[in-house]
Amino acid sequence: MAKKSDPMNISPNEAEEALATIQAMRKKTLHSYANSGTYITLIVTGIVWLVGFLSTQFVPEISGYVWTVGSILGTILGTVLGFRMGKRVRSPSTAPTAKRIGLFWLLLVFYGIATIAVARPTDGKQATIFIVLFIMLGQLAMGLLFSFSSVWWALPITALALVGYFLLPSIFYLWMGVLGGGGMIVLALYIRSRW
Amino acid sequence: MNVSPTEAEEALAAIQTMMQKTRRAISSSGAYLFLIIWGVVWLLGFLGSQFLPIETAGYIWIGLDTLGGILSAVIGIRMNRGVRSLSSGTSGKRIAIFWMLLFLYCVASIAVAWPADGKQLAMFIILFVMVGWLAMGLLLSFTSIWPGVIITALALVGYFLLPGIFNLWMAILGGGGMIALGLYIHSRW
Repeated sequence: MAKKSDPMNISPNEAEEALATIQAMRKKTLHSYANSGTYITLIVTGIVWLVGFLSTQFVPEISGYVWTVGSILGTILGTVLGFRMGKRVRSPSTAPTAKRIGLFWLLLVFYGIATIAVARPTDGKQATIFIVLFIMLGQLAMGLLFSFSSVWWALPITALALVGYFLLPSIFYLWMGVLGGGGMIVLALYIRSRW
Repeated sequence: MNVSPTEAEEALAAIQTMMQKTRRAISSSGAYLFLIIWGVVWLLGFLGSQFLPIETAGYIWIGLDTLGGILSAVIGIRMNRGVRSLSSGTSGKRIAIFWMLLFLYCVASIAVAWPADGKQLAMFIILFVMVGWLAMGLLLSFTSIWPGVIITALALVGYFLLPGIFNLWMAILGGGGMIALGLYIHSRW
């Protein structure tokens, strides 16, 4: 059992120094992202969304296969890139951080499934928008750990998804493919060139 | 790639130390009071939903939420006086924005699922509050995630398996659980 220590044992100076260290690391992380190839993950996800949603809109009878193949390929590519990047910085301290982030995303998947289960009966568009909302929510939470700028791109994609869902239901999947998937690809190119 | 392993190690060690200090600071600063306040709100609110007419319960929820919000704001302002700097202000702002956006995402989800009954609305709110808890836990430590996960599991069990006593279930296990956790943090962290 941990013994309770002196009350409020962070001095303003200590907090300031630690936060400045974290702030500096955030900036370096942004540069690292741009240089390390993380943007490729966004491009891959963007392409999977683009192709997947377009197939759901125009050839729904084979869209299940398209999504399955696209997701598997995207996951394999993402894992390979993740391992490659993981080799560059490896220390005992990075493991708990990576584990914590992994656990968060895993739990978020369960929360997304729980939300869809609570909302049932749901149609394909409802299930899709719930998945989009939870993915964007995860991005927002990740943005908290890194910087403001990495948060904001999730907001326009969420807004576009909701506009498509409520105002343009007949072309919702086309809308998501072009603006959601295409938006991610554009963002990745922006990260590569500007960060 | 301009972060060397040593630099990353040092920065992560600094973050690790700050996490431990933050836990102690949270316990000492009175942040556990948020849990107790919202635990009491849930306890009374869900008891109202279980035993009172829908309209009366609605008014009770509005009153309790308003009171909880005011108390939380007062405590938050008092706590904020302890450490005040440009950087801590930025972090606080980021956390506040996250919760605000979480609220909007919850509203959007309810709109997507609409029409929803009272229990569905309650479950949506619980799920999104717990996602917020997870995100905050991510910034502090592993252990602070688990109470949120347990409350979620209990809520889902109540929703799907015990719909007749869902509100009572949430009052005792959700509200009561938060109060117990608040007292635990105060005494053990």
